[in-house]
Amino acid sequence: MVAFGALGWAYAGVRGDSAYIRDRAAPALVDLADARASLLIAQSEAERNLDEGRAAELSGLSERYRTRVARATQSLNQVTRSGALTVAEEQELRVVSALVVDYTGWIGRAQGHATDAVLRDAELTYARSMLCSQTVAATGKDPYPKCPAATGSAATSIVDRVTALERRLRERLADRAAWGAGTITAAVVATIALVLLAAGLWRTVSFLRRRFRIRLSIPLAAAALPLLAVPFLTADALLALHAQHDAVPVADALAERTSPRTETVAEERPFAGPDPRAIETLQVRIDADLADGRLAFLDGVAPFVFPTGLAAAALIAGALHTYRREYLVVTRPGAVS
Amino acid sequence: MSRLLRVLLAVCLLALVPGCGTDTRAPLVVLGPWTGEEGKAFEAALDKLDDGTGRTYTYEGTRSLRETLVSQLEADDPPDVAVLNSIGELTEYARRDKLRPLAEETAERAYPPWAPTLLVDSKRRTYWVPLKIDLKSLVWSKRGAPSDHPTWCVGLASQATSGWPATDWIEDLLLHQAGPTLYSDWATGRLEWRDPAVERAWTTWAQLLGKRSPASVERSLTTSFEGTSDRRGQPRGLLDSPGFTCTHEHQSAFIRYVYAGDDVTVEPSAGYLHGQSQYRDAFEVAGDMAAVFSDDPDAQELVERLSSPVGRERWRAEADPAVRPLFPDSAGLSPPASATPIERQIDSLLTSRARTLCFDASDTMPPELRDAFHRAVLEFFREPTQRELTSLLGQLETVRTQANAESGTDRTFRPPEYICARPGG
Repeated sequence: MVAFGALGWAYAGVRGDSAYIRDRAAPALVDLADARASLLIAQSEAERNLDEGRAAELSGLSERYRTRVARATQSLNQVTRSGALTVAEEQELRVVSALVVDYTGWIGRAQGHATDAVLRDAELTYARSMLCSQTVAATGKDPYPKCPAATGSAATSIVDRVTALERRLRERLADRAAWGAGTITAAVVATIALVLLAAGLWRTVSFLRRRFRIRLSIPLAAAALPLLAVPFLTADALLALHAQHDAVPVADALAERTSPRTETVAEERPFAGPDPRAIETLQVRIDADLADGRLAFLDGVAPFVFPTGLAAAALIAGALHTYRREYLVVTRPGAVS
Repeated sequence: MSRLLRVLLAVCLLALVPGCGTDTRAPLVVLGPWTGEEGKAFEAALDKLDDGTGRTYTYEGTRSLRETLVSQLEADDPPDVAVLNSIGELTEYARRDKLRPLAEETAERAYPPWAPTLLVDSKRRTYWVPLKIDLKSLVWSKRGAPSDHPTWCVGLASQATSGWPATDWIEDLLLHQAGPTLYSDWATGRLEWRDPAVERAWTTWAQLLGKRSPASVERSLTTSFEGTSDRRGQPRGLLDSPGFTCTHEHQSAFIRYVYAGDDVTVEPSAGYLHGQSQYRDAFEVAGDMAAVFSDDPDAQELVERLSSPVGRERWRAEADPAVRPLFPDSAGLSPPASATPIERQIDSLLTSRARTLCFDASDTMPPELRDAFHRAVLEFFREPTQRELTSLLGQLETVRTQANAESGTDRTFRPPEYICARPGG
């Protein structure tokens, strides 16, 4: 029971970590990176469009502005639904979504004042201040202004808050990908207990052969069968751990190396080959790493490891009890041996 | 021996069975308007709040309060407690049955004018209490600056709520020129925006600010009410911001945090507003009011603790002197020994000098009218002409009529009607 209990706990932990990273943390990080990049692209588009003054009154804001704002909103909604966030983080994300609504409101106001440069620029400033706490001006080489995230109590803008969420998610991802003390302890306990179980079974079988002349004890053989799954479970857990470790630098790249410029280039040149810093490329990479990091036929097995151990223990206990009663009968004084 | 072994085995198994850990309860969610140092102080007080419920709290602060709350309510996932500075917004939530009436003990702290009487579903109920208040009708200046011909510092940017520093001007002018009764009528939607008293407040504001260069207008529109930031990213205050050659600033008491350590003076704004002498001791105030959005009894408990004298003391102790909160009905809660002269002066104005306190008018209006007011002052500041003013007041009047039409059909509901009161009720 201890062997399979510990094994089941450690295995379920590793599998659970993989599932969390694959189904929750990684998609949430992809969506947060996408929302951040999309809003920075939208801001740059709005500034460029509205700089054209009266023309913007007729043409409105560009298609790219509209799709990027819609995409950012969609991405933030997906993060909310991802289940990757704590209660506090969900609240923070709701604030981000609200800021995006207010942000687009001010951009809309600026569009309404397209021909009044003073009001238009003021309203663009309000929108920008909701997006970035501190903006470093765009250069000719990179049309997207840098938007370094503020930290601590000064972190109130959309980018500050998204970056803070990314940081916490990455920390959690790294924690889950690491060998935790609990997992290591359970793995050690499971290994020792499994070795003892195997040795105990072997000695019992030898004893039965020697004293009872039983060549094959069916119940004990059946109880030993789950031991055959142990190498597969171990291999699966090691694969999962390897994939989890591989996911950590990709998660870091999603938060730190993606940029609106890379995203625009990737959008404009879809046939130019994948850019390793594009969000889509990183998403494919992290998905592939995590999908490969398991033996698919073992999906759903984790919850049954401990019950299987319990059943095996019951089988062994029943068999040994029967053999013991038989042994007591044959070793009683006067019994025929 | 075998019994001991069995017990040990059982313990091992129990430890291994997942889900046998302690049952942790979700934290109570608190949404509020404070960010920066103010938010930090409130969070620290919240963390140390021993309310005996064993609950933890998570606080989120934003200036986009309305959008956040609306999205949470739409998702049917409101915070347990929200702290809002708008009576208009709170009234709307109460009307839509989104708020829970406060427990009796807490309701006793519904000090006027921060918590005016409200009739919902034909019953008088208390839905919110002020946690922290602010004194608005103040003017700040550098010590020694001549006050006979002040030049005014104006910074109107404030993220989602840009424009509010100018609405404070208009409100303060109307209060001191037309008095608390007319001010209340206007704030509660019972006075037309085209009323001569309202129009006079706007034109007086334009006269006080004087003729401004296009560069100055642009600078004021794009500069935060906190002024520009220094190299460490800390706000300097408008009086100390490069490019602002001004001597006086019309701003609430809270702005003292940007002038901490500076040689500034503060005085009531009445002397600058061309108002009537009988209204000199009227002061505009604002507040941050706590309301309960969930049925969790711990949320009621939290508001009770936050508004209690013990809760106030703890909050005050956690806050940096520059952002130390002011409380309603502060009789018996004198400023701490470490209070600065400015803090003492503000406390004295609030508790001794003021004869009438009137709640911030824009924060009493329905949210759509308040937002329109914020935008209108930006446009008027850009172009302070009579033609522009007539157009803006006409638009605001349309919004007022629409808002009244929406809320006026329910006879079982009555919004606040008078938002001024004597200090201490």
